[in-house]
Amino acid sequence: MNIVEVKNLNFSYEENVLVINNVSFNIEKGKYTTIIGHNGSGKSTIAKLLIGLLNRNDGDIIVDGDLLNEENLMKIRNKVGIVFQNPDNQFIGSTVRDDIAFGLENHLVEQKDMDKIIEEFSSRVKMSDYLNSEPTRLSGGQKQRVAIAGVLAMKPDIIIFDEATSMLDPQGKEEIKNVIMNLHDNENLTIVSITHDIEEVAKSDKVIVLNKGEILFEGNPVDVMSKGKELNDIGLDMPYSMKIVEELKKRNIDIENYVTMESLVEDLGNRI
Amino acid sequence: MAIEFKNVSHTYSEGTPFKYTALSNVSLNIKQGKITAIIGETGSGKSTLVQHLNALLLPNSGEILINDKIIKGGEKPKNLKELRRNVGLVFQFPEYQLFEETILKDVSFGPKNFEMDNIEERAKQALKMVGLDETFFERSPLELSGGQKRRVAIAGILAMDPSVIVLDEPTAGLDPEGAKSMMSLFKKLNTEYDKTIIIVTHDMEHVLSYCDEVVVMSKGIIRLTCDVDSFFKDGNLCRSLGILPPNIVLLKEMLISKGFKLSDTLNINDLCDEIGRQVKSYE
Repeated sequence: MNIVEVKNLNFSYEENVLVINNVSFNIEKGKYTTIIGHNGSGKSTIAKLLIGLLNRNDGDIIVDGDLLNEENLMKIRNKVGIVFQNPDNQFIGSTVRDDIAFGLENHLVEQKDMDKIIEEFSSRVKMSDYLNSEPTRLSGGQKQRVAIAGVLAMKPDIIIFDEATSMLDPQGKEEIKNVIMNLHDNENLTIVSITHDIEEVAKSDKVIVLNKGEILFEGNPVDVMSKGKELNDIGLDMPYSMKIVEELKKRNIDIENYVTMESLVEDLGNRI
Repeated sequence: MAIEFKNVSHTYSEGTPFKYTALSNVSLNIKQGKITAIIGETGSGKSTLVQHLNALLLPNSGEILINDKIIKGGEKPKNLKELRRNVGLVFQFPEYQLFEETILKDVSFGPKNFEMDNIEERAKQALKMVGLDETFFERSPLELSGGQKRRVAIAGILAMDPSVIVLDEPTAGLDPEGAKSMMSLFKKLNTEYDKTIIIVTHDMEHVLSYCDEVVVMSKGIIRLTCDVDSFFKDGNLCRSLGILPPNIVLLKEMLISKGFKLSDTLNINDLCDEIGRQVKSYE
């Protein structure tokens, strides 16, 4: 079942320059969808269109059966959470507790329920030991986890991650990728992750490749990553396992495409 | 130009409750004419270290030798102008610091400030070094893409003709292709223009592919300095320092555990030759 349907979407910041050009795609409920493309391909614009932060020129965006329009905007925003790139730009509270409470207060959650909710969601992202910590005491990865807790506390059906790991150090990236994976595997949330991380793409259910505001490829990661050179041509990387596969093919080794190192090594190990 | 740190310590907000020692007793030699990567987790002191290289931060104790200039802890150094021209420091997201109406004017700012000769020529030359030709000279820096803006900011440093260029996470926020072309630019500045390059980075693939030497920091101390090939020879050395080894090292470990016999190579072509030969011998 599709929880998001996007049909013939067009958008321009300035007249006559389409940043999103007739884009149509579906997001399946409970699936982990990644969107990739080089800087300026329109990825983040799509995220902002999906939550109505930008208004499309034309086309339809349907979320959980409702057309995104002025009337349905708040209803849809309650279903779709978003985590942005910069950990410092989305930390509003003076402590972790206040930050998670911010969204709840806006939704008029009663004080007596609030503490329970804050504890529940901070522990989901392993931040319950830091409830009284100030943001300056937290790493980028920890701040992003707090942002995720704040979004989760709103009980969304869909969470969009807009390059949520790109400003983090390797450790922070791993932390957040694990949290995302866990939300997908164990909470049955629909995940849309806009990313440059090709190893993350390899682990998702579906990938959409954007180039100059148009969809170039979409499908399962193995099929899309098999396009190797065509991805390179638009400035995208291949998973490391695919680079090895291509090199081995040049050496006349008959081998299929693998998007993870584990599956590649499994195959090679069986040959010797 | 020799760069040497001898027992350098740096403490922020000394004498306040917020006192924080970011460097403690750091001794280090940085080799001239090489590309040195400075790695370590967030908060390990990397940025503090590099800001000492042109005396933006001064040591509380110890001394730093940069070329023939000595900066001693606790002393106020005099006449830093030549040092600041000679060691160019590029901060994170330097594109936020562009401010002039045209790209050429922006790049001319440094040489003008240092009262150098042939300012416009220097600026043009610097822009060409970063791959921006004359069609860019009169455009506004604000019209450019993120990667191009960053090149303009780097040209602004190059225009002062430094012999050392220090870059703090220069590929942050760029897409993979943009990051690769940025790293290739530094390699070119090193090989063709003989610049000593010091890069703060988290990206082990970049360290492996583009750098010669590596300095590992943790909690304000230097844990290790060594050449890149020795550093990545054994994945466990990286892990013991809390660093995830690059892909080729991980792949080799997995293959060896399946029975492959592999050499010390860190080159993808050599590795695939070795894999290919062994697979074929069993066909």
